[in-house]
Amino acid sequence: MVKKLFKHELNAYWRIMLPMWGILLAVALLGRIIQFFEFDHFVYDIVNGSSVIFYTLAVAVALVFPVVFAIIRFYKNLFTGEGYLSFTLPVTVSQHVTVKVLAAVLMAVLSFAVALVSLCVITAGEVLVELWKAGIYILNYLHTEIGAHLWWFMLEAVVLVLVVLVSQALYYDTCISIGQLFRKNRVLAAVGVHFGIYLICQVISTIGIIIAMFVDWEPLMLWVEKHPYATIHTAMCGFIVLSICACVVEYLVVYMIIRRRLNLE
Amino acid sequence: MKKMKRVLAVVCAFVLCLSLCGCRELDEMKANHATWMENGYILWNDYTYIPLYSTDEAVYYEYVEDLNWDDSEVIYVTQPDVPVLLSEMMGTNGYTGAGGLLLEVNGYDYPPSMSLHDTMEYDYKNYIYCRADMYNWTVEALQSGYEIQDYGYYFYDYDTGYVKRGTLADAQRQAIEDVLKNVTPIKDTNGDHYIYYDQSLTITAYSMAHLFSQGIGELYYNNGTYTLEYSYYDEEYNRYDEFYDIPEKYTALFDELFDKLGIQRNVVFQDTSTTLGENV
Repeated sequence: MVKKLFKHELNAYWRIMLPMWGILLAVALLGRIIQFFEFDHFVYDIVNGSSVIFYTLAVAVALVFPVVFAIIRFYKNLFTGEGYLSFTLPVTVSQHVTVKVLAAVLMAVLSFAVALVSLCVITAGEVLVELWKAGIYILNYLHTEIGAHLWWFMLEAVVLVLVVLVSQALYYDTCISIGQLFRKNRVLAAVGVHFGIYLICQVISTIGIIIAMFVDWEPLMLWVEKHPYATIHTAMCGFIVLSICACVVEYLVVYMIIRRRLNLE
Repeated sequence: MKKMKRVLAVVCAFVLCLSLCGCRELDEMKANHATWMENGYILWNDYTYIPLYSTDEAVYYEYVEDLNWDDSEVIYVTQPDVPVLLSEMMGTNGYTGAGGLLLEVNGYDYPPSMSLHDTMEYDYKNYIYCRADMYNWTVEALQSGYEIQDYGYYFYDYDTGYVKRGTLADAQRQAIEDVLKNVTPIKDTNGDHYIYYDQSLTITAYSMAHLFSQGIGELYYNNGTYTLEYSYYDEEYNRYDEFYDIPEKYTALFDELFDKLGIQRNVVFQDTSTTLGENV
């Protein structure tokens, strides 16, 4: 049943995302075609400049939209009238949440991949070859400078990005879940919860900074100077662990609210 | 399936067509990308450039140092394996001179063991390279063939950031020649002569069908009068500056030049005499 649920979730995404990706690729292709005609005329400069601006906007929309759509789907499917149907399905709450989060992360990754493909389209030809050469040169250069650490950094970065994507998806779900505890204006309440959490995080980090001012950082700085790569590895792993902790907390909040305080419209 | 294959074929053909089309910016970057050769020479536009060594010191000090380099187009010299898109980021920048016969390469990323010249007082070096196939001709031309054929001007417009160059009109050229010949200059041998001015313009000398242009001095405007500063080197490469007050009869000629270049002569600066005064 989970498979079917996941398939249904993806189908809902495809209906929106496929046309959006199509538009992104079309804009990229249009931009590339415009580059065919390299006139020394201000009209061409305007058209060419506009095509680049449209392309940039299309990329931004394609990257942001999966997040927005994931929020809408989570709210509509689980906290509005659709929730009566959703919760009659033979799947547990944790499966519901997992499917939603996995689909959101998958769409974010796919959107990024399509954005990369669109970059290939708009730069098709010599520029793409040169971009590719530049990328390989930078990788080789970094590998010469920092050795095998590079591959570990890249692996850590990929894991961190994935964990952060999951954490972000769960964060928005948390805001919506807390927001639906209110009787009225639940969406507005969710936005308020978001700002509330943001404010709390800011207060905590400010207190942290104030405390940090009284700590003697010299031994740590000496260690950092001696072990720069180990510092980066530690920081990356630390962020991954922190993000996983955030995921667990957010997941538990969402789970508990849906399990015990579900209040469908 | 057949339809899919056809669509795929059309898409592939279209992508292939795209690959045939270049990009203007990329072409410009390629044109301005030079590479170091193993022996420290430079390869640019299929020409090899070799350094002007210290044996040609006379050439260097007397002519090359004051050449007006074409700073409108920067070239970047990198190691051969550096891709063109990274040339600006990882390269040493430089300028062309004498219609591409000479390159001035500066910065810190220069090849080792070069016995070239410091042209600036800072820990920063400019190296002059000459096209290998034209090396002897260029040196000879610089040494013996530097006869002034024409006078030009060079003005950097701070408002727009553009450099304006051009040739002086016959009447203006004759005026300069007349001034240099008939007016008694104030000679400055130890660099302590002060001149106050509102605006200035570099006067250049052209030789060899305008191939070489050399800044020979400055034309200063101050409160309705013009002064020409003429600079030259003696046999021991000491630099001298001579100051010629331009007679009133030529004022209108140079007014015309300043107007043509859009140089506002009558701008009253708040602290003209102190900030624009220059120790020459």
